[in-house]
Amino acid sequence: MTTATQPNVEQLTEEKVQFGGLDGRRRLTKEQYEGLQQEFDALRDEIRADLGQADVDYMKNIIRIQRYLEVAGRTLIHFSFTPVPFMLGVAALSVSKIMDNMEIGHNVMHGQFDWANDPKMHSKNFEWDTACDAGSWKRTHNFEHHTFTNIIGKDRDYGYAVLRLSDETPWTPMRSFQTVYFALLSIFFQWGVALHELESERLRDGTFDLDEKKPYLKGLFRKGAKQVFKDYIFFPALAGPFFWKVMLGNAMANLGRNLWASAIIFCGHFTEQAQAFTEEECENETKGEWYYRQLLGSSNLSGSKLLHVMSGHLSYQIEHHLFPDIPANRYEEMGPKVEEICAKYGLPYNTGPFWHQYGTVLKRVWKYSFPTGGQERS
Amino acid sequence: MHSQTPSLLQRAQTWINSSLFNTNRAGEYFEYLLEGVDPMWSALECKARIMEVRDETADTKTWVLQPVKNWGGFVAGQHIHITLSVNGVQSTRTFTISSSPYQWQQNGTITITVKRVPNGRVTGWMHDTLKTGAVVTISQAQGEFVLDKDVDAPVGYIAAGSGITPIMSQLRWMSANNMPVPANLLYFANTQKDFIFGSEIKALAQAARRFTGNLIASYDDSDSKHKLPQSPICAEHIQALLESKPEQIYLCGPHPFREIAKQLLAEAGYNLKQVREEAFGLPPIKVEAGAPVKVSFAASAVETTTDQPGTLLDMAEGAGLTPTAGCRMGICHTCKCKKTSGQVRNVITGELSSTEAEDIRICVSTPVSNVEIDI
Repeated sequence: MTTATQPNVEQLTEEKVQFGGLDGRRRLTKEQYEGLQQEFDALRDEIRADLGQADVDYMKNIIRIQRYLEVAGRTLIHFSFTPVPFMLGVAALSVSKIMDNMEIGHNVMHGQFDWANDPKMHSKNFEWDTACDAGSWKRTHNFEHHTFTNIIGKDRDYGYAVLRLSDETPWTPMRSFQTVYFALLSIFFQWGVALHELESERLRDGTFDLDEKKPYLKGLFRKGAKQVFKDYIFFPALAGPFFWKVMLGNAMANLGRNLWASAIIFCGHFTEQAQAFTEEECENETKGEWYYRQLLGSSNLSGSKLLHVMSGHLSYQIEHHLFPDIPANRYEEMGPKVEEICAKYGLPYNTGPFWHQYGTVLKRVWKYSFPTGGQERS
Repeated sequence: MHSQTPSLLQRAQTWINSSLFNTNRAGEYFEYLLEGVDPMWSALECKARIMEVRDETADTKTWVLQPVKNWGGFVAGQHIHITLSVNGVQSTRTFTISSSPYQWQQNGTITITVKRVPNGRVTGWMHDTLKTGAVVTISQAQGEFVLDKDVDAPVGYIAAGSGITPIMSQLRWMSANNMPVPANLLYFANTQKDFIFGSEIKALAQAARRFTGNLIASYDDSDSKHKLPQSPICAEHIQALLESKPEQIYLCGPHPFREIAKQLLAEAGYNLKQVREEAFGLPPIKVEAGAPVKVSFAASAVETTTDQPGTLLDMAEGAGLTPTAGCRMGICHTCKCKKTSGQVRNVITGELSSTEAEDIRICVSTPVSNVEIDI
């Protein structure tokens, strides 16, 4: 017997999935969308009711490790006179920045720990070690990206208004060089994120003028100046004659963080099988359909505990998109349950090892730099 | 209190702190680090360790706390805010110190005595979980419910239930100083078993000639429904208290109890300016007649409409939001938020706010018009 909770649907075959396309996408019936919603809601409520001291202790511990690494990293960069301790310092500082941005900042600013009522880990107060200020991030990421995930034209995270990743985005000759933009975006990722809210593409096409962006620009300069002061003026100056060495070390630590963070984030939504949506098909969306879109638009990374922590648990991008305000350290136990629900409804659960997933991102960026893009299939 | 405009130096310091540590207070950056090394260490707060937990009555316990050395001490009758992690949720509550300042001077410990509030999330957790060895965060002592310096006139005390705690601190202090002034106590509780420090008060009354303690139970011990003739507080009690001609009366207990006591004192011709009250918690919120109000939590895109508004903090939590909050009684300013439009009433002072945008403490504010608030 086929019921809403036990759908008898054929498995989605790979041939049916098109890059960002709408054809062949597994559609559910109204009842199935409702069933999907109930199952995900129930899972969320179950975990939320179980949150407690252990979750707070986990986050405190992560913050503690991050601070030890930062202190150790800056000390090593300062007092190293041979390449090995210098590189160790760079690595420690880079890892500390990655932890601050990903496992701490990103998750705390999603309000995952607001329930703990600790001002030091409350989304209202948190500021992080990157050029994008917390307020801007909460507007563009928490609101825009998480509400309109992968809706082309509304989710500006989809390609960052720089990359063409599906046939829905028209090809222009400038798109031919998008692998170069991609490389630059990866290298200067923290500034790319900071500039995201400027919406330069919409400034250029005249949707609005610069005056409307004044409050944002003020915040950008304020935060950007602080970051430059810290890494390129204050700590180098503290080292006196070794100014350039410390500056170089800090720049390298920032570069390491930028490359890693961008790689992880691109793997979240731009892998081969992650799907895009049009505005029309998302009109009057129900909560069940919203879950469905989050699910199909996101992709996971399989790997070790270390990978999960260093990626801010964005290796569980699917779980994060379904439950953005559940503490990320819980995604690991939610994963198998989400996968089970997906299987039940015949929906894909997109996951794979980091290098495989990142490889498909690179392939996709390359492919769509040509006008034929997704249609060119062997 | 008006905050002063920060000087250029202060502003520069704040800017540098926020650049280096991503927080205006550098200490905050190191807080979890210090806590990781030793839970008693902190750059910002005072910590205290639980040395002992004692039963007082069936639903009341005393915790012996040893604060860090640099804690500033207290005057008998003052209270502290205690912040503890209740199943991961940081919660702040206010408790009077029940021990004598003499004890603090002698061995560096203080005590708080806490009754389990039915369905109370924090007091229930404390009774079940807060054991010897645990570390809590405490504020400096504060409060005006204290003996005036150079006092040499008789004092009167009226307490009900756990309202005895600040008074006990004063009695213990006076007892340690050979009762410098005559003191008279009226103490009300449900049954004889519910008198906190009952035997100590009786012993003190026998030992100290200048101290009179009356323990007045409302119900028979054997049957909590069997009301005793002498209860509750009435004109005769007040009359007996006033015979000792107290210069100052200290009154502590639940809100309705204090209202009745004050009324009786006023009827007996006592000047209420000579009454000092200790009031914890919020007075009952008076619902203003009129149309239902709409509260918009703008930053969260949540709206609620009600004709029975409580505090904005309760309403926000009822709507599933989690704004930061501390004491929940308007003292600590943790819950301060920007109200962008509408008018609110301070439930403690009854004062109406302006209708302009301003910062308000949501734990003591109730809406009187449609309100938009930046949560």
